[in-house]
Amino acid sequence: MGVAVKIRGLVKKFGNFAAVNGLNLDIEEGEIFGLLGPNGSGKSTTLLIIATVYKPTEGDVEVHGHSVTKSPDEVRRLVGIAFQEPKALWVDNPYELLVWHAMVVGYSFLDARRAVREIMEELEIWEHRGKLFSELSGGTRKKVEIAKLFLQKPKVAIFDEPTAQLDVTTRHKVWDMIEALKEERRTIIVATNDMAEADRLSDRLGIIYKGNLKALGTPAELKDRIPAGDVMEFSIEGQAGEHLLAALSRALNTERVNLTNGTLKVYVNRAEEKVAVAIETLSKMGVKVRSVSIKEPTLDDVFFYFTGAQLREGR
Amino acid sequence: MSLKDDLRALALVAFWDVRKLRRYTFFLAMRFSWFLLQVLVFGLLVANMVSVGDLDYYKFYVVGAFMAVLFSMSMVKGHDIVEEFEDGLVDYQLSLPVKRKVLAIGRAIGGGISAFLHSLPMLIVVVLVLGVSSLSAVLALALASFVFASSLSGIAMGVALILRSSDRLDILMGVSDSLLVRISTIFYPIAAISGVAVYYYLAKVNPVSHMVDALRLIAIPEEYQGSAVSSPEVILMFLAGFAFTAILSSLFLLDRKIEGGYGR
Amino acid sequence: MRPWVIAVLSYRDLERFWKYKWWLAALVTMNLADLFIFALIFRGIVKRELIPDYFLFLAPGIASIAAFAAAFTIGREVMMELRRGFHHYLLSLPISRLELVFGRIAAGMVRGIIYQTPFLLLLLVLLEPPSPHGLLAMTLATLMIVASMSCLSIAASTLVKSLELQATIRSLLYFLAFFLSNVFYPESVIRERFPEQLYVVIVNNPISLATSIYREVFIPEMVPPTDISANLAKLAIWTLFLFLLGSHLYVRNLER
Repeated sequence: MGVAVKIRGLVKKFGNFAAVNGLNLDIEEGEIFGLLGPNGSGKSTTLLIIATVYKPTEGDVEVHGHSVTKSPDEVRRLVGIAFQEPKALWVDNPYELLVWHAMVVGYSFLDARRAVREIMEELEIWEHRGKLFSELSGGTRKKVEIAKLFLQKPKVAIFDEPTAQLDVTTRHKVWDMIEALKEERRTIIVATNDMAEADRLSDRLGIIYKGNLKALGTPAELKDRIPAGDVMEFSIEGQAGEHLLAALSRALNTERVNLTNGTLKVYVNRAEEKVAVAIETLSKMGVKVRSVSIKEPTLDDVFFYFTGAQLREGR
Repeated sequence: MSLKDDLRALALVAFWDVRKLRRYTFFLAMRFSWFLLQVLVFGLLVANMVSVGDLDYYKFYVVGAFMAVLFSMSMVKGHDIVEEFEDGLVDYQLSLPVKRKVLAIGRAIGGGISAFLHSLPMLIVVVLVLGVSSLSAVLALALASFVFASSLSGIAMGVALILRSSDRLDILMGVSDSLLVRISTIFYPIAAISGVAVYYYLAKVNPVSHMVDALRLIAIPEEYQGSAVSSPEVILMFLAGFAFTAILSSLFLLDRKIEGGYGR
Repeated sequence: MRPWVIAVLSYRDLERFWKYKWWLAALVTMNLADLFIFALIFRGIVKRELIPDYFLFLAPGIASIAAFAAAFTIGREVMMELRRGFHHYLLSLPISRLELVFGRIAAGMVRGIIYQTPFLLLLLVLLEPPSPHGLLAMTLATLMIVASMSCLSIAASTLVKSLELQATIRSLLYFLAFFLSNVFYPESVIRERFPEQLYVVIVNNPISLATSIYREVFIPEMVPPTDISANLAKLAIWTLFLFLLGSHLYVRNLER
């Protein structure tokens, strides 16, 4: 597998404000790449540059070897985007909008009508086909927007917050559809603020903040990069004083050990490898362990660690 | 992409504007009523008040009022683009697998067809009121109107795409309407404008003067021959030069400068 | 009824008025173009026996049109609020329906007065300053034309449910009032070209009544003498009628 999207030294300025500020990133062919970042971090701007909607101020993006600055027409043939905000005039109706989109991305008139009907039925919006866009609910509008990309099936499919405003059932259906698209050997970029979505879909994640990449890796790798991110909880019986906490701290090489109402909490990395050492230490100190549980950090913790921590620094 | 693909994309992009036509029924009804008021009230009364040599001011005014409609219908395409910017549709179109040049030409043609169809009922009124009986004259009027509408729509859309803001566009359109329409031979014969020197020279170089006089030379050739802004040959050459420059500069701007983001 | 509530409501609309600064600039340009292009050029071709100086003849009419156009913009606000559901917020506020109605009408009036003032000042510069009685008549005419047009645009924006049809009706009313008035043509020409009934309608529309008053105040020598008191009385009847119509339709449409 090669690189589908190569971003080098990307800068995008609006006036004096740099929305993207020297971004470097490779997105592999055939992967689902999750792009995380707080509002205004530069996620959407980056995606719009990949889709050739914005022009870079500096740097370049290559999509399957084609530069967005030098050969944007080629890039557009490879990339499709489902926008964060559904794009339609209030007087548009979903069916006409989708048929037009299908035709402009290459379907014949008859194929377009058939494909649009199929996708609208799959997303359960066929009954809304003739309504004005202004009459549709937020969720239905979003479904119309993502339907465009499921029709288009570009080599690089960009979903900007694909399941925002969707109900739980539809979210799972859309996730399944995105995974099915990956099975068709498409590269998928998903920008999201929904950690459950990022965790479920992403092969790799990038966390972007103030226009820069702050972290990159698989969800598991990023979780492991939080210092003392795993929590071991022991319910214990017997004497437990400062000497016990100090012994545990030494044995597990961590400074964070707390005891509250018979519950001992130890913060470490890779807890699954250290739980045996902890039980042995407790046993040597004459403490009986009644139960043990291990909690891994969530992507929320990852997100806060890589962005929230810096927000606090910023203050 | 092959030429066939480009032509297909061009037709689809042009259709984008044409398909919106039926949604503006009320707007068209309003604009048509406005035109009738202009022709049947304002034109009639004003023609009674003025005297411009041998020229029948009423006939002169009817063609001018139509050109004003064609101008404003074409300029509306600029507002359509800004509305699309606000709704993010321009961002959407820029992301489609369509060349920028194809997008630009397609929107200009689509805007032109749409503006021409919007103005068609008024053109029929003009033909009836002036009693244009020759089929070739009617067809020439229709063709010229379509060409003018496409050029003006293309310019309006190009300007809107560059400005990317309804505020900025409003002022520009307001000023261009005030200057291009009013300092032209749309409502005033060139002989009448000659009383105010600065307006006279501005009207002489105003492309809208040449467009409306071209329409008059088709609709009322014998009566208007001596009163036009220039000779028919000069008008034709002026318009060809104008169209060529406008198309080239619009394509250049759209190809090189255009990007998404409303108001950014 | 609490006057400060009406003032606060009007202030909100006035603040929004300035936000359309570019649109306003375009409107000013068009009104000035009517005066300094249309009127100037027409001065050279209008028959002198009908109107000795078309520029001076048109100037008071442009002042009427300016007040009318600005006051009329309140209808667009009302329409946009209905489209976006903002009226639900207005209805939830601790203010009476009557205060709401008065607030909105007052807002249209304030817009009209502010926008028209420079045009009236221009008249004062271009023409002889009027007598105190003339000034009083001019002020009353201004107050009534902006009130009546504010009410008319609110009525048009709430007359029917379809927002597109509302916009169409508003535009149509605007152009009817614009063209079927005496702003651009002397009443003798209107009488000569149109049937008597249509002539009566044209010269008695609120724009024509206000224009007649302004002309009588500023250029009495250029127009046939008219009865200012009678015109003010007619304008007052229009204002009362349009107020009742506009307020009734506005409240009815907000609450349904």
